[in-house]
Amino acid sequence: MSALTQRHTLTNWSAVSAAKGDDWFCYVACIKPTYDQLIRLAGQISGMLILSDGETRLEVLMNMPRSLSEQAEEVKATLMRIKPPKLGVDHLRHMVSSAVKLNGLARTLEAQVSVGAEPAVTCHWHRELSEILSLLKCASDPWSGLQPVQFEGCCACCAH
Amino acid sequence: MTKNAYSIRVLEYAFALNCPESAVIYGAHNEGIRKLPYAYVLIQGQGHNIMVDVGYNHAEYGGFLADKFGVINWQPPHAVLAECDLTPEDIDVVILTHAHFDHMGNIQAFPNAKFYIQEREISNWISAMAQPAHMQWAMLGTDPSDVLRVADLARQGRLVCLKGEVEDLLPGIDVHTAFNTHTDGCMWVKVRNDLARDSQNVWVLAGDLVYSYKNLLDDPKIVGGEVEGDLRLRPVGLAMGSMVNLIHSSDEMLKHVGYQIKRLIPVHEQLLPQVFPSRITEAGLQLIEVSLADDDFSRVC
Repeated sequence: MSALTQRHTLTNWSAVSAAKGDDWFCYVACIKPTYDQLIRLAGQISGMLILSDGETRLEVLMNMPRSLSEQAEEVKATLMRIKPPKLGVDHLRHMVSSAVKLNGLARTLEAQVSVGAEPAVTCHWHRELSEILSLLKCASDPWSGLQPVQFEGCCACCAH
Repeated sequence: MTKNAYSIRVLEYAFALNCPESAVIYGAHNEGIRKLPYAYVLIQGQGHNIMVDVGYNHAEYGGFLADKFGVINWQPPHAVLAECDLTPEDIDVVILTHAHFDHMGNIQAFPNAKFYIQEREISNWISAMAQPAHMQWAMLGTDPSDVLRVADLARQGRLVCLKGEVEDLLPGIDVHTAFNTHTDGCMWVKVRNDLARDSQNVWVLAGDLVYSYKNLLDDPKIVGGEVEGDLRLRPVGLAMGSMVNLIHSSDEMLKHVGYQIKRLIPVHEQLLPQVFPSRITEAGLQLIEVSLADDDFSRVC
């Protein structure tokens, strides 16, 4: 059974990666920009769910350099072009799955600027997002550079 | 007449021993390292248990932070708050000064609290995350999972997005904004501890707008529990916004306390235990008592 399908914690996944060779690290280097992009996209969609004021929400959407769905399409297309090593097949499959889900959410959100009008729908989005973020956290390997939070140089972080 | 309506305590929950001085003081390169406490503030009184920031969750980032940045001795909120005979469930209000992981990374630990944050901090997250990869610097220290957890608070009706400053958010407690400084939607907290509008008993909780007395004074010295030194404002080592604005926000906070340095509380300051009554807990963390409410008893003596 592959590491990801076991619902690993962040630490467990990283421990697994310790035994991996150059193939894995080449794959990580290749996938990191896309992983980061997925995390950012999930963060943006989460943020949109917080803004209760429709006007602010619309303003934020309008001021984005690229729309949420454009970003999601781009991520998906990039992932499709990546050829993983054997060890990374399952990892990539989960990344693609996250990207597809995010794309769906992004499109729905853009179509319905009045987020939160239907509590049941909002609840569903929260669940979806939560699953995606869990998946991305499982797919993290901070010691190799895949991590949801960028700590380098941030406040209260030291010993660079 | 109320002398002290609130008890104010700074509760250390972890620390790093080797923080570069330049992370604390902008431009202080090659000036060595210092201990950097990680702490939140507990305000108790008027029927409320209020936290200013909630720290981070070790389960999420602990191993990595410990290995890479030397952050040690993290204790969970239930252990830290137990020193004040409280549980996380007792906290009914949380004021989030800003969205960095070490201030907002453990909101799930406080199931009964109502949270306050500036709406501008949230809209700025989204805008920052929407920037292309080569412009992601502004997202340092922010966890998208925290953003989702805040979204969940909103769904539960436990989040209030503030639009600017609020007087008497709770009796005698005001929140002030410092936009475009450490982060875009930063705020700081003013406690008018005598509850008077024109208070003579003000405490300012600076969040990350000030890390240390060195951000305020040239060569600060603690003499008999007083903070002494020549006033000289210097920004903290990290600003997502303007360093100039940080200087202005520091000056603004100082105006509110009549330039009494002791009344401005920088939670990352390692010298706080020399200024205020304090004790070290069994876990090896500092518990600092800034103010004691008229109807409360000391947790440090």
